[in-house]
Amino acid sequence: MRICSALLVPGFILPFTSSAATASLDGRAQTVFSSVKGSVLQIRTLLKGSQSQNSIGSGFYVSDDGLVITNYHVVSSYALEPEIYEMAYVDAKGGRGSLTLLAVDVLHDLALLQLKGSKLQNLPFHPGRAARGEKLFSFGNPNDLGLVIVEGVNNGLREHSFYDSIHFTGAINPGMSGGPVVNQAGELVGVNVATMGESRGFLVPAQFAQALLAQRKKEPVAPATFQAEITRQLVQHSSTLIARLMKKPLPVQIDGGYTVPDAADPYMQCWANETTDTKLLFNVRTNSCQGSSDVYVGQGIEMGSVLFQSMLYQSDKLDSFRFARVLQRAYGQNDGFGQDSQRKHYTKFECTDSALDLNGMPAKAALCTRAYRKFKGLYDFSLRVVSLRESKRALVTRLSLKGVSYDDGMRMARHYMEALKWKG
Amino acid sequence: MERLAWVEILDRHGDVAMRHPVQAWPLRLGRAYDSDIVLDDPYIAPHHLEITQTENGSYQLLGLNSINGVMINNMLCKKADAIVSSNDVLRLGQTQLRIRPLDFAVAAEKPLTNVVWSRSWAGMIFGFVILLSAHLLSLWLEYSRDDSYKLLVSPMLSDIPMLLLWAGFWALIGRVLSGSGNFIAHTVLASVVVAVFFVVAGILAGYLDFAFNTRLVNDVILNITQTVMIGWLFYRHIGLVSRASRRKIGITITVLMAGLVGIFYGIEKWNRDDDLIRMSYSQVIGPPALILVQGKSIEQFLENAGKLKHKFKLEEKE
Repeated sequence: MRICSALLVPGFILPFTSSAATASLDGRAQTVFSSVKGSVLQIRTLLKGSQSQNSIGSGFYVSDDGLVITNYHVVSSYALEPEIYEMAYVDAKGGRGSLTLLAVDVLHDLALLQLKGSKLQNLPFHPGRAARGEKLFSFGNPNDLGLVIVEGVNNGLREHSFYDSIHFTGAINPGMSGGPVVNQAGELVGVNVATMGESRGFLVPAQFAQALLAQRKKEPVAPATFQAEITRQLVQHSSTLIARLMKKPLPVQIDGGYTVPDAADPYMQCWANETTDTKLLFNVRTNSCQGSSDVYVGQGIEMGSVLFQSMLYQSDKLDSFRFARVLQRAYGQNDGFGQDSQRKHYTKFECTDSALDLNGMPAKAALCTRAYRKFKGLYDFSLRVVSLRESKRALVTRLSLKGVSYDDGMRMARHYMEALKWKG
Repeated sequence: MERLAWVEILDRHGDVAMRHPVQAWPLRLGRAYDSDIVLDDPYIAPHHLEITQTENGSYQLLGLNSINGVMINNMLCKKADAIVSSNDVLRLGQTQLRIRPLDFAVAAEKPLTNVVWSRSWAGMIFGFVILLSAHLLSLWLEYSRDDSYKLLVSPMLSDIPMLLLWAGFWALIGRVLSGSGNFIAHTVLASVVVAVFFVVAGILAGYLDFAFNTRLVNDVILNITQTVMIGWLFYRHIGLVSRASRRKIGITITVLMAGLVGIFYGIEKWNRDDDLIRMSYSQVIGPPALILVQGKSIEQFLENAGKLKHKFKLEEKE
C-alpha cells in the first residue's frame, strides 16, 4: 500500500520540531466537514479479476457530469498497465462503482477520472490562490480507516520545488493522496500529494486541477492507452528540466584548484561533507547537489532526477599507485541506478569510456546510458569523470540523470564536462 | 647354456617387471608347465604361442591353440602368425612382453647430476616467496587505511595451505598413476603460475590499458593469457603425473581449454545480458605519470557517446 509517496531528500531529515496537528474541530471544521464529505471518494486500483487492492487513495467530485480528480500516482498502475489493473471507488455513503481514466498530468501528479454510478456533490474551486497562513482542511481516507478531516495551515509555496507545490502544515497520511484540501468556505485550494512526515505535507495547487479540466473540455476524447501521453509529458519534463539547467554556464565552486559543479537552479540543493575517519590515509570532501525535480511515474520508476556529485580526494600519506586505487574505487562505484531495476522497464547499460583532455586537464571519463523499454525516447545517463592532473589530489565527479531524452542527456553531459577545469 | 635373447614381461606402465633368458628357438609360451616360459595368466592358453627367430633377426610368431590370440602394439592378431621386431610389444591375455636380442642397442650412460632446483626444498621456498610477494603486492595496492594491514594478513595466511593442498592432490594422482609423487615440483609449478597471475591479471593488464587508453588488454589479451596460463599449468601438472606422450597431453589440454573457454564465455555473456546494473567500462585508474597517450577531446568523447543510442535500437529489433 503505497500512496502519498514521501519525497525524502537526503539531508532533509531534520530534528523533530513540529507537533502533530491537533485537530481542534471547532464549529468551522464541522461545517466544512459536512459540506465537503459528500464529494470525497476512496479510489482503489485492483488486480483485474480479483477484488484485492493494489493501492488505495482518495479523490473528489468536481463536475455534474461525473468527473473526479485524484493523484496520478493513485491510478498509475492502471494508467501504465490497464490490462492488469482496474479502478473502483467507494463513496461516503458506501456506494460503489467503476471508474474510467480520462486524462493524466504526470508532472503535477494529477489524474481525471469519469465516475459511473452514483451522483455526488460537486466541489467548487477557490478563485485565485490561497493566502499564506490561511487555515485549510484536508480530506482523505488514511490507511483505509475511513474519511477524516485534518486541519492545517497553508505555508505558501514549497521552496526548492521544480513545479509549484503548496506546503501544508498538517498531518497528511498514506491513503489521503488525491483527497481535496479546502479553505474555510469549503472551496478547493489544493490536492493532497505527498508528505515528509511530522506534519510536513504537500499539495498540488488547485489551478493545475482546473487546467486539467479545461484541457479535457478541449480534447474530450480519452486515449485508449496512456503510455504515449505519459511519455510525451515526460519528454516535455526532460526538456524543461535540461533547458533550465543550461540557461547559463554551470555554476562552480573552486576546491583545491578544481571546479566543482554547484546548484544550477533554485530547485537544486547542495550538501557538503568531509571524511572524519582519522584512520584513512586520504581525505575526501564531497559536494552533492540534487534537484527536487523527480516525477513519480510508476512503481520503481521516478524520472527527471538530477544529481551532481563531486569528491575531492587528497592524500599526503599514500604513494601515487595506492592513491590511484582509491580513485579507482570511487570511479567504479555504481551510483543509485541499481535499485528496482526491472527488466520490463530498463535495457541494460551501454557505456563508452576514454582518457580525456578536459579543457586542458588530463582526465578519464565514462558515460553509461540505458533506455526505458516502455517509455520510448527516454533514457538514464550516468557520466563520471576523474581528473588525472596530480598524483596526490584529484576530483572524482558524477552526473546522474534519470528519464531524459537522448539529446537532453547528451547536451547536459557536455554542459557538465565543459564546467570541469583546473583553475589552480 | 647358451643365451640367445631375452623375453621381457612388462608392467602396466611399460616398465620391465621380469626378464627371462631365451636358450633355444623356437620358444614356447603358455600356462602349461611344459612351456619354456610359464605365464600365470588365466587369459592365456596352456600352449599359446611359439616364437622363432628368422634369418634377418626378426621374430616369427606362430599361434597355437588360443582363443584370445595375440595383440601386437594394441592390434589384435587372432591367428597370431606374424613377424615382429624387438620394439614391438606383444600382449597375451593380460600380459605384455617383448623380445630383445643380446645385441639390442641401449641408451648411453647418464651422468649423475645434482637434483634440479625445481625439485629441491630451496625451489619450494623460492616458490612460496614468489607467491607471497606477488599476493602482497596486489593487496598492498588496496591499502589505504591505517589499520588495513589486518586485511593483508588473512588472505596471505591461506595461500600456503591452499598451495600445499593443490600440490598434494596432484602428488597423490601421480603416485597412483605413475608411482612418483613429485610433490615439490607440483608446489613450485603452482606457486610460480599463481604468482604470475596475481601480477599480470591483477596489476599489469589494468595499467597497460590505462597507459594506452584502451580496453584491449583487459578484455582480450588478458583472457587469452589467462587461458594459456591455465592450460600450461595443467599441461605441466599432467606431464608430471602421467607417462602419456607430451603431444597427447598437449592436444588433450588444448581441446579441453577450448571447450572450457567456450562454456565460460557463454555463461559470462548470459550473465552480462541479465545484469541490468552493470556498467561495463574500463575502471582502472593509475598514477597520472603512467599515461602515454593524448586524451580525446570532449567532442570526440561525446561523439562516441552519441553512437550508443543505436545499440538500443538494435536491442529493440531483437
